[in-house]
Amino acid sequence: MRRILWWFAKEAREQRAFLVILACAILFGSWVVVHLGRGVPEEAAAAHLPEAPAMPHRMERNGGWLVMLLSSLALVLLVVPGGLFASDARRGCNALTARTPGAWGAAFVGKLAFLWAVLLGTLLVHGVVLGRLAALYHLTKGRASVDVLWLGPSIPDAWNLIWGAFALAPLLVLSSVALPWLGVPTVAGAAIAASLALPTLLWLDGTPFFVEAWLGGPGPLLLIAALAGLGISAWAWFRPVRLGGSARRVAVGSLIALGVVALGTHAVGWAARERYLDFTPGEPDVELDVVGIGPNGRFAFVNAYRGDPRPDPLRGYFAFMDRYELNPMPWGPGYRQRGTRSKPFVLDLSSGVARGTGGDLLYDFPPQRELGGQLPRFVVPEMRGLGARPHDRIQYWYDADTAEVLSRDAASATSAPAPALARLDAALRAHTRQRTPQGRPVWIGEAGLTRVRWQEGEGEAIEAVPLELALPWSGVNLVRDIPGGWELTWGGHSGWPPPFASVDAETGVVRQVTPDLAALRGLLPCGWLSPRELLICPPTAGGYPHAPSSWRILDLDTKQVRSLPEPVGGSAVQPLAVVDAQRVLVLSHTQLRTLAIYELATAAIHPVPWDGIDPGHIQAAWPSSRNALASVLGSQVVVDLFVAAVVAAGGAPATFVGPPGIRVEHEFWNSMGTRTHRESRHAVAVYDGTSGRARLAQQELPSSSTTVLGLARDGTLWLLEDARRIVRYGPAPLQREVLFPRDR
Amino acid sequence: MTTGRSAIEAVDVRFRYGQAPLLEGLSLSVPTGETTALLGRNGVGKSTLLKLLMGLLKPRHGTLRVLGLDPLRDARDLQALVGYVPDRPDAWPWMRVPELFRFFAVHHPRWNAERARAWTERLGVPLDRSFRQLSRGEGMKTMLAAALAPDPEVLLLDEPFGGLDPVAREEMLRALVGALGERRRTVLVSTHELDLAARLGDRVAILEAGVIRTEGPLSEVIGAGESGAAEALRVRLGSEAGEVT
Repeated sequence: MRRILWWFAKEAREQRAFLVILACAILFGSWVVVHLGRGVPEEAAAAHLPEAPAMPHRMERNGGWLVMLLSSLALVLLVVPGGLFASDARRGCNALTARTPGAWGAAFVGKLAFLWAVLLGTLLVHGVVLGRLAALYHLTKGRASVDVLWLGPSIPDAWNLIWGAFALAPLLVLSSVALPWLGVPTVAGAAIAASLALPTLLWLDGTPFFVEAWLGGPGPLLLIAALAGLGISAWAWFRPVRLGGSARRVAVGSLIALGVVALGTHAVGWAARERYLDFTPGEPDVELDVVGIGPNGRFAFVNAYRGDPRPDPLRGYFAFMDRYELNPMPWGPGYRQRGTRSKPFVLDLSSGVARGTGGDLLYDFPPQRELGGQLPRFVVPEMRGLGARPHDRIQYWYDADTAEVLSRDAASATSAPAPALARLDAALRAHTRQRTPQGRPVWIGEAGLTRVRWQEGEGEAIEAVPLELALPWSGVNLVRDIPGGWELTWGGHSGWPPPFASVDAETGVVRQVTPDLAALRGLLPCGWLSPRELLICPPTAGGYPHAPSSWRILDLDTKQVRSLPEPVGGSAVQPLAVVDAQRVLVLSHTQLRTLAIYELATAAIHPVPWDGIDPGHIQAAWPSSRNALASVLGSQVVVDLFVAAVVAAGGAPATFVGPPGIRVEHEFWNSMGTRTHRESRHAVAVYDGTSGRARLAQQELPSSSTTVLGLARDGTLWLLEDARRIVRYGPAPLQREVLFPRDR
Repeated sequence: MTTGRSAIEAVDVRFRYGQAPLLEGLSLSVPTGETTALLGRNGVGKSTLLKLLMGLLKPRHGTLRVLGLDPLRDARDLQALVGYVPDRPDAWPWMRVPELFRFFAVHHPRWNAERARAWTERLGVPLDRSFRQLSRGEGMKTMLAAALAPDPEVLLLDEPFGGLDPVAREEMLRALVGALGERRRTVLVSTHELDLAARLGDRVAILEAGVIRTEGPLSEVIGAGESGAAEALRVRLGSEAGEVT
C-alpha cells in the first residue's frame, strides 16, 4: 500500500497544474450555469433541497450541469492518462521503475487508482461546488445544509455515462502504454477504445434492444469494457518487461493485436447490426404499424420496425402512444423507444408479398381534412408517404388500391386532394348535419371555418374562412348560422364545458366569446340533438369522478342549461353515443339499450335487438373499455362493441369501424385503433345506428393484442394481431385467415 | 565455462532487436567476488547483456543466472540483491536526491538510508537540487550512491564513466574503487576503455560480434610482455580506448 500511495502522490504532484485548472473550470462553469438558473437538476433539487419550491430559479432537467460534468470527465480522460503513462516513457524514467523491486506493478496500480480518483473527485467537486452555489444563491431558505448535491441518482442515463467514463479509463491507459512516443496517445487511444466499445456505440445509436439481447443491459456492458480495458492495459504494461525487445516493438505488436480485435469487433458487430436493421415485415420480431388499407383490401401500407421481443407494457396504458418516429423526443410518462426506426412497406395481402418502399419515408395518415378531424385511419383511398428526415420533407401520394404513386410534392404543399380523396371527403361531408340556411354543409376544420358554397355556373366549391380562434382539433364542434355571421361552439370530450363564440361570417373576426358554464363542468358533451341543442351526459366510467350525474340539454340560443329527469336506472344508465336526434345508445343493467331523450319522463329505454347473441345471456356490461365503445360480458365471451360508420368512396367493400369512445356527431373522427389485452375470449359486435340493431361481427377473437382494421361488407373483420399479423375473421364463425405473413 | 563459484552465468544467450541480431550464443561466467570488465566497441551489446542480467529484457535463447536466480522469473528477488548503475541518470527530472531515496526506501527491501547518506557525503552529491539541475557527473554519482546503499551482492555498471569530464571521472572512479574495497562483491562493469578496465578489473571479457571472444585475467588476455598485444586490443575496441597502465 505504501508503494501505491507513493505513486499516487507522485502522479498528484506531476498533474497538479491540470488539477488546479480543472477545479477552477468547474468552479467557474458551475457558477455560470447556476447563475443562469439552469444548473441544478429538478430531481436533484427536489430530493436534496427541502425548500426546492422556494427556488427563484427555474431548474431544468438535463441542464447545463450535466453537459459541464460530462465535459469535465471527458477532459480528465483526454489529459490524465497521457500524463500518467506516456510521460514517464518519454522522459526515460521507466527503466528506473522497471529495475526497482516491486515498483513496476505498484506503478500500474497507483497510476490507474489516481486516474479513477480524479474521475471520482471530479464528480464530487461538481457536487460540492453546486451545493455551495445553491446556498450562495439562496436556492434554499436557510443557508443550505446541502454541501454536496449528489448529481446522478435521479437520471439513470447520466449514471450510465459516468460509469462509462470509469470503464473507458483503462482503455485510455492502454493507449498511453502502447503509444508512449506519440504526441497524441490519448487521441489514438480514444479511437481504439471507441472501436472496442462498439456495443456502447450501438447502444447510443438507438438499437438498445439488440445490445440488451446480446449482453443483457448496460451494466454488464460497462463491466466487460472496464475489465477488458484493465486486462489489456495490464498486459501492455507488463509485456515489455517480460517479452524483451523495445517498448516500441511491444507497442506495435499490441497495436496490431488491438487492431485485429477492433477489426473483428467491428466486422462482427456491424454485420450483426446491419442484419438487425435490415428486416422485412414477415420476420417474427418485426412489428407492424398499419397506417392504411386500400378500399379494395389488396394493399396495406405499414410502417414496420424490429422491436423489443418483450411485450410493450406501455400499450396497456397508453394505447395511443405509438412510437414517435419523425421527431423522437423522450417526453411523456415512461416513454421509451423500443427498437429500430420504422421502415415503410406495402403489403400485397392477396399474395403475401412485402415490398419495401425505400428512402426515408414513413406512411402517414392523410392530413387533417376539412371535416375537423382526421379521416378514417385504416381504409383510405389514397395514402401519403411523408419524408421522415427534416431535410427531406416531401410527400408522396399513392393510390391505395393499386399502390401506384399519384404525385410527389413538398410536404408543406397544399395541393388539391386527389380524386379519390376528394370523393371520400364528399362522402364524409354528406354526413355533416351542420348546414347553412341554404342547406349546404359547413364545418370547422383545421384551417378555420369551412363551408361549401354554391355559385351559379361554377357549382359547389369549398371555401375557408380563417378564424382568429385556435379551436381544439378534436371534441365537439358546431357551426350555426346566426344573423350577420356564425356561431361556433366547441368543447373537449374530457369534460370541459363548451364555450361559444360569434364570428363574422366574412372575415372570421371574433365578436364575442361567452364564458364557461360552470354548471357543466365535469359533464360530457355527448352529441348534438339538433342544431341548437347539445346533449350533456354524466360521465361514463373512468370519466370525471365528482361530476353531477344528471342528463342536461344545453340550448345554444338562450345559453341555458335544462336538466332532464333521471331515467329509470339512475346512474346505472350510462351513455355510449347519440344515435340520432331523439335516441342515445346506453348501457343499462348489463343490457344495451336505446334511450329516448324526449321520453325520459316515461323512462323509455328500449332493448337493442342483437343478431348473433342472445341478450338474455349477457351478464354484465361496462362502457368505454379501452377504445371499444362498450364491452359486454356474456355467458362465455367478452363482446367489444363498435359503432359502424360506413363511410367509403365508390362503394368500397372495406369500411371503417369506429369511432371508439363517446361518439358525437360526424365531426369527430378518432384515428386510433383498438387493442384488447384481457386474457379472455373476445368477440366483436357492431351497432348500426341506421337499423337500430347490433350484430355480432365476430364471435371469437384470440386473447392477444388486437387492433381492428376494418369491417368488410362481406361481414369479415380485419384485425392486426399482436402488431404482427393481419388477419381476417369470418364471415363464417371461427373462420380465420392470416393475410400477412402467409406462412403463419 | 560455468563454475560452481560463479555469481553471474550466461550460456548460449541470443538476443536481437527486431531483425538485427545482437547477441549470438554469448556465454560468460563471472566468478563470485571478482570484478570483471566487459570490453567491447559501441553498440556491440554490452548494455543489452547487463539489461538481460537485470531482467529488463528477455533473451530469445539461452540461460541466464545471477546469484543462481533467473532474471525473469525471480526478477524481484534478484533486483533486491543487485545494484545497477545506468549509463546516464534516469530519475524523474523534478526529483531531488532525498526524494529519490524515499522512492527507493518505499520499494527496495534492502534499502539502507544510512549508507545512502554516507555515500552521498562521500561522493559530494548536492541534496537540495533536482535532477534537472544536477550535472551529469553529479547525477551519476547519485545513481552510484543509490546502487550501493542496499549493499548489493552484485553490482552491474553500464558505462558509468561515459561522458564525464576528467575530474568527475576520477572522483567517480575513486569512489568506485573504494566501494569495491569496502567488501568483497561481484562486479560486472561494461566499458570500452582499457585503462578503466585495468584499474577496476580482476578480469576482462571482450565482447565482439555477439559472443565473448576472450575472457580471463587481464594480464592473460592482453598477454603481459607480448609486444603489440595491447595495441591490437585497442584497435579492436575502437579509437576511444585508453592506455593500459
